[in-house]
Amino acid sequence: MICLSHLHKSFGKSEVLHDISAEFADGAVTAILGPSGSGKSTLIRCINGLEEVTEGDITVNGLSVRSRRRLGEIRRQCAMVFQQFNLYPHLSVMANITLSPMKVLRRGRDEAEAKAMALLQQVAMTDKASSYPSELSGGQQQRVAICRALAMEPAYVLLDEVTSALDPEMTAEVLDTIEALARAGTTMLMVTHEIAFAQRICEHVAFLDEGRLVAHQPAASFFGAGQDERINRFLARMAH
Amino acid sequence: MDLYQYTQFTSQDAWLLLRGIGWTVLVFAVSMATGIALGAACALARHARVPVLAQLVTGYVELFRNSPVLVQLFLVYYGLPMLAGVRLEPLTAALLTLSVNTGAFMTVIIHAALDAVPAGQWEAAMASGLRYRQVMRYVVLPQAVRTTIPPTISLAVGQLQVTSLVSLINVVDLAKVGTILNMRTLRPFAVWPVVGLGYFALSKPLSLLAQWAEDRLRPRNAWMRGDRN
Repeated sequence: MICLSHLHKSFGKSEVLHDISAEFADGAVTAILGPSGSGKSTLIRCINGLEEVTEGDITVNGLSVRSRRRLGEIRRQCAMVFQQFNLYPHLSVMANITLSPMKVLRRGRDEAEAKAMALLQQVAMTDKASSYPSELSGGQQQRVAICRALAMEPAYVLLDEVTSALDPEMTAEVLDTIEALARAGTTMLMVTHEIAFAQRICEHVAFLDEGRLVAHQPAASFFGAGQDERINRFLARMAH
Repeated sequence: MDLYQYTQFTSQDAWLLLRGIGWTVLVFAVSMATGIALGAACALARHARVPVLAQLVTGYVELFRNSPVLVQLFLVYYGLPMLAGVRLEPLTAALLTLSVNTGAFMTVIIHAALDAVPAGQWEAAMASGLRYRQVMRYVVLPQAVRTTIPPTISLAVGQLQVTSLVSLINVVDLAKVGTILNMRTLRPFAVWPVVGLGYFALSKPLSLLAQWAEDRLRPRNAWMRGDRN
């Protein structure tokens, strides 16, 4: 379980997240929605310590992000997939996927590579194992990035607008991969602009506006009518 | 006694010139190698923000990049004996000074290369649980090294010419041989072009290497070419 407790985050004088408290249970897929600049990415980046919490706390399975020693353990349990993929350009696809399992989890090379191939099979990219990121399309790179995240066998997968840098054609193949993950029961926190997709696969929705958690509820009720004015406006805008 | 004969060039002079070149190459090669190692250590200390060390490195770099090499050489060769009672051989003083000087420039080159690696690489690596040292070793340094090669070779070309200054602290390098021959034969228009040619012969291959390196190391990092999206 990931618990946010009165979380505040400021960049200098500018407060980006204000008094956020929420619990994300295991096994659920939660979409984190909101207008641009509402702090969605900052929120999940606080969870794995890429951003430092200003006030309040976040615990991942009881481990607090404010403890430096625990951060390594938290990062092992949370895997992140980025909007810009961030694959290591000097390493092959196989090396990208096996690096952290070998160096952090201390898996043997054979074990790590076998696992990598299994993951590549799930995204139908086993033929690209020796390719380099620069030889792949954006959609392919992002699917490799997802494999890289899953290779760590994380408890939670954090997705930060993973399709925003892709054109519609490639977005579809990545969304399919994510949908498969959701069906397999992976706990995911997904910052996204793909409202229709969120509506289809997410069980819960957390809605942020200007740094505040305006709503955190099951998806069915979120997408129903009669919501907070801000939510209605947001959904109406995104429908275009 | 026929003084006239000493003002002529002899075959011995060719040998002198060759020895001068030998010492120039030695001073250059050793100071370059040491300077690169020193620069790497300092750049890492500064990048990692090691508490006291990082500030000391900054001070050292600013000092040695913003003062003439000539002044640095004189301070070490003539100044140290007076200040600290340490009297160094010309060669030792030359190697020490040029190594430290090269190191200052290399620190900047390497630090810039480290900074040039996109933050996203750090984020992805650290988010997966890799520690600072592991990130450096497996993700960042391999990418940064490529970036350092062209500016390092450029620096080398410059430092090669700079070695000529050690002639002023009694190292018998190519420039010093030129001075000796010139004083003896009083024919600057014969001596100096030959000396210049010597430096050119050493430097041109380096320049060509720099060109080749720039072309060969056409950015293979996707983030430098702009995304293939």
